Amino acid sequence: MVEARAKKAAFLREVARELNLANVTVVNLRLEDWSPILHSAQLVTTRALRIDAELLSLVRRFMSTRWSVVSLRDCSSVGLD
Amino acid sequence: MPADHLLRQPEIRLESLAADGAVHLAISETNPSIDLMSAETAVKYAGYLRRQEQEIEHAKRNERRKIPARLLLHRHSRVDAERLFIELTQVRPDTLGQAMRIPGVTPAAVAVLFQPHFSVFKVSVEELRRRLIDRSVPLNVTLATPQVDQLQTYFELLVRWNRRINLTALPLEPLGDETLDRLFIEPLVAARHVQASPLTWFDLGSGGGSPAVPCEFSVRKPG
Repeated sequence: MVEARAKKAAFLREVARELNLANVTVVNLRLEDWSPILHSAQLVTTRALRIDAELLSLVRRFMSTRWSVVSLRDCSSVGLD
Repeated sequence: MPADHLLRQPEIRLESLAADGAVHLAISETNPSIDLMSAETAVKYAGYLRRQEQEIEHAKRNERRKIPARLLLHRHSRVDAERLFIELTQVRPDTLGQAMRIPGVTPAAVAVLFQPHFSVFKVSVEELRRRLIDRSVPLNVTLATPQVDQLQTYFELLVRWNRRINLTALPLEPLGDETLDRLFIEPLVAARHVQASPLTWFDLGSGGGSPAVPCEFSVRKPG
């Protein structure tokens, strides 16, 4: 989980700890600063994040060739190849 | 002045009052001194005795007072709640009376238990459980008990943290149906599109943890 704000990241860490979510890593960084590892992404989810051309191009740059974006912003799923 | 008021003064003894003829006593012939003493004590210390009786009554009430089963103590609390947390999780007392008898647990620490901050969730465990299941069934989302437990814990954390930092604009207290759908049900529906196999998954701008956290429960079935 990538979260730029430290307080929210602290909350997410607490949730992961309380619920023993062993597979979850909370990263307190802005997405732009965390791009190198994003290469390995197979699935990207986001909510309440404005999906604009800038974000898409940023994500696209780091995705493997087959990828999908699931957006919950307006309750619709968008699958892209 | 009535005799009982006089008697409350430390230097005045019942024996001398009786001797002066200020009070008439019906004294047992066999053991006059003891009866005189207990009568004097009862009058002199009436206030203390009354308070002690109140304390006993209070303790009896506390003895029966149930500690909420899913009470989660938070590390950011005051007094020695941290210590209390350890004690309580090891012993799991059912009532306040039992909690008070755990060595090292102070009355102040027990008082922390009953602060609204800790235990008052406006939605009860049963209600949240029922509403989650009611809303997930029409959508063909099946919720196993461990998942409901996890959602419950997640909800409690969210409520507590949201009082201090803005995690979600959706109303948690009281918990509206829209909140329930947006925070819990939609992620569970979305989780259908996520394969259960090992997956490198990024959730960007996770904020309050939805949808990533409920999705995670749903995709990685516990146990």
